[in-house]
Amino acid sequence: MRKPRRGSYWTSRGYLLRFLLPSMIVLFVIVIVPMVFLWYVSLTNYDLGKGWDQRHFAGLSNFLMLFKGEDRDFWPAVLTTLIFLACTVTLEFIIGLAVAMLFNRTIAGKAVWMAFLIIPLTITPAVIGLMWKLMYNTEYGVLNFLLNFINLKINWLGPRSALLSIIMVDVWQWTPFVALMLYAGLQAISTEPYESAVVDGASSLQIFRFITLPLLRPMIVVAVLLRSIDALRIFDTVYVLTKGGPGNITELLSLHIYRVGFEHTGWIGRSSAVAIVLLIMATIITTIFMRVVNITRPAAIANRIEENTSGFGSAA
Amino acid sequence: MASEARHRRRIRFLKRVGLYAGLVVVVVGFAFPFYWMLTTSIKTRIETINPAKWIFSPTLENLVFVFTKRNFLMYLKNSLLTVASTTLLSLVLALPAAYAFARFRFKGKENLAFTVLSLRMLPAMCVVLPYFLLGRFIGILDTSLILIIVYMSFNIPFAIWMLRGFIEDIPIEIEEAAWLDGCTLTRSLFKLIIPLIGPGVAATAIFIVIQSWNEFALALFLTSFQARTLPTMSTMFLSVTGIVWGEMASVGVLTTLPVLVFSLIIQKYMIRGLTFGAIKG
Amino acid sequence: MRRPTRLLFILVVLSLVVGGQSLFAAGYGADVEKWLAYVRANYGGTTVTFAATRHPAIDAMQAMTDEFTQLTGITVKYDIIEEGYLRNKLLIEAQGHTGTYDVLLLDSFSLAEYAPANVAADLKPFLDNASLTPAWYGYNDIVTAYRKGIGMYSNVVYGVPVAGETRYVGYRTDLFQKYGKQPPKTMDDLLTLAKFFKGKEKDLYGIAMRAQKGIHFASGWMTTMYQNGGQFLDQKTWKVLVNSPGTVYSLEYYIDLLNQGPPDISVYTHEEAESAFALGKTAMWFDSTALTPWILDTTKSLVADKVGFVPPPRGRAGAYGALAGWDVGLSPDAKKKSQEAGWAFIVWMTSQIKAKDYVKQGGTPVRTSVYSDPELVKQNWTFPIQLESLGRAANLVNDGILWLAPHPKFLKVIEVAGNYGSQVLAGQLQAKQAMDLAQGEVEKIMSE
Repeated sequence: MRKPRRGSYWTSRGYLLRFLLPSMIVLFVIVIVPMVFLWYVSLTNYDLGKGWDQRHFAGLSNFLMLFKGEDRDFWPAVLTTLIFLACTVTLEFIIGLAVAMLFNRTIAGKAVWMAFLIIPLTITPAVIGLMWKLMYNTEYGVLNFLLNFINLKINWLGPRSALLSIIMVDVWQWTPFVALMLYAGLQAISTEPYESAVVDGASSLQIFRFITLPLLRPMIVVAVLLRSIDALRIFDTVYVLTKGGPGNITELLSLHIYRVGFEHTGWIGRSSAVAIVLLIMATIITTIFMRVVNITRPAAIANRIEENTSGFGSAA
Repeated sequence: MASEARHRRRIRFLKRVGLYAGLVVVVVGFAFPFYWMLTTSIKTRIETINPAKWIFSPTLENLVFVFTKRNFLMYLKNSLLTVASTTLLSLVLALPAAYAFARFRFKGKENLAFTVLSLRMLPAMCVVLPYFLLGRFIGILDTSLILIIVYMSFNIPFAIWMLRGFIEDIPIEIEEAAWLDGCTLTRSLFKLIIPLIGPGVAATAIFIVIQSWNEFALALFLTSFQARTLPTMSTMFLSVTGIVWGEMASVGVLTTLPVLVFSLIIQKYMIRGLTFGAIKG
Repeated sequence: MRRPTRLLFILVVLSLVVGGQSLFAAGYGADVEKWLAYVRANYGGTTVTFAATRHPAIDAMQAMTDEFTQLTGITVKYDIIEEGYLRNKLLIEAQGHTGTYDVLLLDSFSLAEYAPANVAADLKPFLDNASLTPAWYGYNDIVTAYRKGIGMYSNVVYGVPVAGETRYVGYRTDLFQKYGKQPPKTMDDLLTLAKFFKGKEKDLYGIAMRAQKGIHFASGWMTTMYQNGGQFLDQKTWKVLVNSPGTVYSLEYYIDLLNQGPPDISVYTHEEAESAFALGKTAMWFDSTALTPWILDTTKSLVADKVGFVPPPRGRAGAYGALAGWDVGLSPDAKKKSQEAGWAFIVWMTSQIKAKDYVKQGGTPVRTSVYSDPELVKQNWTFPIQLESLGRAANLVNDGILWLAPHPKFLKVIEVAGNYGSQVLAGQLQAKQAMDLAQGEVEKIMSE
């Protein structure tokens, strides 16, 4: 391959394809099947109990019934999912950042401390659900047992607290993820800007706002983005804890999809339609998020890349 | 003057105490449920549903039973094989793509990056049926291969985005300096970027391992005997008469251990702090 | 002198090894031996795959499998999956005609779904096959209610019952004695007693039952529904009766009853209900007879020695009881040889001669001979009460109603009803309102 001019690597077609194609092709092949299936089935009335040959084309009726309100639990599920998303991601970001900064110092036996932090991530989600269900039980759960000492008794999985309880479990499980990502980000920041800031007499808060946060930006964006997407597809843990109950208080869209398609009703067609709606919702949310992020993107980094990849053609 | 020095020392001491106190709070908060699970695995059923009993005589029969009667080692072997393979493949495929997204400029870059990510947005149950039918058609049901492939569908996008973030963190001056010295892109990728994002690769690896290790729905439906992985064992203890807590907690604990060990080992690479000052010098 | 002795020794060992099989089976009698030899000859060396859920019946079978393998040369591989997922897996495997599993554990609740989806094979040809199904098997010894009610659907035999259950009431003898109360005879008694005991002592509640959203709620509700005059579907005309006065009343009754239970009863499955009762948190419990062993086990329960049982109380519509259970069946997609070997396995495990072993290993009794066996009855004092409860289940059948309506859409119906019921419990809807909405949805389902 012709060796590109230095600096114009980043606009070279050849290199770009070499780098991108392998994974893109693999992904495309793996993912195209369920995607096509999903879109196709959402337009049929395929029923798990009846078999593939008995499906009929149903047009957009599956979608229409959702928007016309015939599925009474659909809109509540959308709302619940959005609330869940907002609460978990926000809490995980704040607590995660605090924990990451806590760890970003010299600590004796840091590896051991971090090992404890990683624990929630390593436990199988279904098992987590079962353990927390045991702990949350109002009569024989350990949480109420401890609260009993201060004369409190909370009905964790009752109508009023169930949503909060599942949010708590998710935050418990995934904050370490955010913390670790931000910690890795903090570790990769060089000490230079800090040194000059201290010399210039900046306060801790100023350092945090104007140096740490901007430099940590890429990691924050990735962490929040990934957590948002995962929060939309959470299933095992919530299913085991409440199955979407009491009533439909904790029925997230993913649970709704499962219930409609697999829980004795077998309406795969309708379930796929809800899945597509979830997909669209997720795409919209993340697109908005990325727009907001890019608008406020520090011009510095973007411009640098601009400068360096243009006008090199003229240099010898 | 001496009292001022002492005052400063005291403040520093208090700060240290505060730091370690904070660490303890964090650790207790995150580790308590695991501790609870650990003790549940060595209790009898009545002790499990009776939280007042904090002191009990431990019984190892659950752990022993799980090992011998429940074929634990086979599940372990399958999990190790599946997860190691999918992690390696995903990282290898994702790295160049992550670099491309981080550095290259091309039309529709953000759209493509996004589409790649959108593949992760669906709950697992949505894709069980199509993958099952496809696997049946090709004939790879109940093999580790199908799981490895299917897991890549969410591991690769994840790795691309994570690594992209880490690569973007590295100032482009470093690479430009290397090219000025006559280094090619590929070489700079291997000799410069990869070492610099070491902590990032380690973090990504840990998360991919964790996610693949704990994946449940697809493993349950796409395999039946040969390729069953550890997470599916948890359903063996959801008995119609009630949950066999002791065995379930044992499996839960045993499933967690390999991943914990792996994370501990990899952590060394994460904690190693790099300063660009050192490299430039 | 040495060589002849050594030869003799080798001969003895050899004959023991070779004849070991028959030596082992010597305790079984000639016809059994004949059948075993037939099976060994035709299916020895085959592997049978069995999809099941964790259940005492399966625990018992697993304990008996080693002997079976030794006698017949057939190996059995178990795949234990949680019941909800098992159902889905069986349906999905049937869609793909994979034949992954030979023997299946079938939930009576799901037979109505399995039948049209071809998940289970018709067992009549196997039952009629004289060489595979010997006379000593004793098919008719299995309690009729189970054989016809759980094992058959639409007059086709899909499974052999391995665990039958009805529902009955457990109560705390110590508490009842202390307050001078009698165990409930009618449904009104039950509700009054539950209200009485709630809060009577610290951390004491009236009753523990299932109420988790979906099928668990429906299952708990159905335990009390028919006696209270409720029904989801008219089983002769298939008219939808979801919002009929009887059904609405039965829902209101059930909600009232649940409100006398622990505060988070809305996420209770049978697991939490049994745990609550076994821990002494509730004065009563109304659930499956299959859970009795756990309540009476001192390592699993704090109330083992102070509990009594009575059959399901009589309601305004009659003295009715539940009928549900599990069967073993065969997959129609399995390869012929392993399918027949699977049948041999089923015959052995569910036969009359092995029934006592089965129960001793923890299996639930399904045979009349077992229920009346004096030795077993001595060990299980609840057997007569269970038999009486089964009698009430038979009442329902005699009045023309099956506890699980034999309609392919029945599961969808109870899922919807259970969903709405859960919303009433959570206070999101009133009972009549919820049932009117449910009526609409169910009518739509039935007409599709």
